[in-house]
Amino acid sequence: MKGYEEPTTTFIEILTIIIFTLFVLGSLLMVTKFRTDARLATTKRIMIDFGENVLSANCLTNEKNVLNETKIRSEFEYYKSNKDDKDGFSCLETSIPIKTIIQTEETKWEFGDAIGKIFIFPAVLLKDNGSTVPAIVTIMTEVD
Amino acid sequence: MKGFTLTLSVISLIATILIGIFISFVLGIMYSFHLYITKTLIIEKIYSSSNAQDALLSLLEMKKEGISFKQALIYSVYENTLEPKIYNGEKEVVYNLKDVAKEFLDYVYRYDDYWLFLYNTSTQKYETILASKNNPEKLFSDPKGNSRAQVPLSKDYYLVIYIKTAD
Repeated sequence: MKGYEEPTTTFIEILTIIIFTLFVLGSLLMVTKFRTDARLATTKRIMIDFGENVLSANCLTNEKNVLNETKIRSEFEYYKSNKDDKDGFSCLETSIPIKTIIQTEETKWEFGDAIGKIFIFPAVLLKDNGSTVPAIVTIMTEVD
Repeated sequence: MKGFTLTLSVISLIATILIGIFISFVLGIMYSFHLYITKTLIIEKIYSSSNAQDALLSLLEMKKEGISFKQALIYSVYENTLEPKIYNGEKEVVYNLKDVAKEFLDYVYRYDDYWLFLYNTSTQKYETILASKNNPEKLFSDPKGNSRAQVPLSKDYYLVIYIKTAD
């Protein structure tokens, strides 16, 4: 039995090193998985952040949440001649494709080109004649 | 001495396994907690309520005959009525808060439920301006799926909105 003691000790030490390595690799995998999940969760966050920027952009609004019809028309002309702009607005800049839809019961403007998840923001549109109508701003994007 | 070395190796193996289990457990808790904080708390509670906040901020800017909803609310609180009489520079206007709120909320939340009311913090009483359904107290008693926003109007009064998004 004594003759087996030395190989047994070596075997256990090797086993210890293997298990320790597995735990280290497992921990690293968990951290990687967490980062992946957190990135998925941010899709909504990106839409909300961008939407809030749209609602306070000086090229679209008079003040926060008050969209200006004249400014939107002007921005729509800009978008038609700058189709490569990822968001479609002259005063906003983004590195990912984002689509913004501004609509009221009568009118609808679409900026940018993207398909994916959506988030909706309530807003109010100040018309050229000084009256206001309810509006909906829809942000659409797909983040990998 | 060899027996001692063997015992030490076994103890070292067991200790490694126990420490590994402990680390996995701690990482598991941290992982769950981080996901909870990131998704549930920040995304769902804080960010998603921005929709209700934007609704309230937009509604305050809605105008009728040159008078904004926020101006009318102040008159409403002081005149203690949901149809305050306001002079708009040309004539006296009876501003119906319910009509303006309905125009806005019925368009923005056509598929969702909402409840807009004035809340008095000193008396702890509320007065409903508009709700999508009858008995909104019961509808919004279940907090699941609710988002809420409020703006102060005066020392005691708040304008509050509850939104329940359709599944």
